[in-house]
Amino acid sequence: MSHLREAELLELAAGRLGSPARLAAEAHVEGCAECRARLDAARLVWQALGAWEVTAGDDLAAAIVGAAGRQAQLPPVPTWRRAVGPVLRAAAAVALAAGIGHAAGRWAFPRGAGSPPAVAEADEQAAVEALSLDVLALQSAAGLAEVVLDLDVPTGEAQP
Amino acid sequence: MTADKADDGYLMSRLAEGDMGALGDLVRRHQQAAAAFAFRMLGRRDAVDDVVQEAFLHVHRAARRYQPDAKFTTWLYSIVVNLCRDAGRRARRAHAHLSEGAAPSLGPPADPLEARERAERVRSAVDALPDRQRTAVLLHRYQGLSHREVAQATGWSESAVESLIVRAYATLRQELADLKE
Repeated sequence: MSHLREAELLELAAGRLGSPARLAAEAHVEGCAECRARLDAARLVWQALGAWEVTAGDDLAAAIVGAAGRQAQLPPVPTWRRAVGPVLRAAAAVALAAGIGHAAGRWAFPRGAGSPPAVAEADEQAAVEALSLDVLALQSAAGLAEVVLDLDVPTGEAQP
Repeated sequence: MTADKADDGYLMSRLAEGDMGALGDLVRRHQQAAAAFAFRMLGRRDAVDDVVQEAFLHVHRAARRYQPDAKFTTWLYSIVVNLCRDAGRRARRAHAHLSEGAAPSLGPPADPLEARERAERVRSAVDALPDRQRTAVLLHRYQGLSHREVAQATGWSESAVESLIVRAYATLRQELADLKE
């Protein structure tokens, strides 16, 4: 039989092992000097911890029953308030995220100094459209075919 | 089913029906153990009554939803553990010193000096454990909970609890080696 696990020894030292497990553990300890020594050590620390005694304070029963009675008399929170609460919290979170995003955008992409907002926005829009058209041209069937042909046909080598 | 569990379950069913006398019976039966545990967890006397009172008010509020899946005491300790964690966080935020001068106030007043010193040594050694190990040891050693019940009270896995307890007792064995005679 293998040695007892530390947790088993602790439960044995505490007197909390159930009958079959306790009998088996005690039988093992009887014939195993190593586990007997470990059990002695576990019993000693268990007993040492018993030195920290605590006696509780006042009887709180009357105070608690009184407080519970007052708690029971409080009007319950209306159902509509319980339902609206999460919605309001979600809306506030969305508004906060939008505000932070907007502020971050303003900070990351400041508008050009001196250019009127409408002109700057028009320039931005034109740049975006030009970029989109360039990309589309590259990814059009003809454009892609040219790229593929360039890659597939190494220059100076005969094809089979 | 033990008599303790049956009685507590019966009291909870009466409380669920609005019998405040049942709450008083539950408080009288378990307040000492709950207060002792809260005191050991918090390391100071001033917050213990608040924690115990709030724990039983929670029991009162939850009485109608109570399902006796575990022993009442295991459930009660899960409430007290959470309240102590909250109280501990609040105290740390307020830079309160949690342990100074706390032990003698709840100890038996007629203790001889040596016994008080031993108690103080044990308290210091337990307090020095990492939080999870300390909670597990307090529930296991002083409140009499099994590994499974500690797991239920804390929400940790049973294997984690076993590991925490084994490591904690190993540390305590070293720290209290000179107290063993």
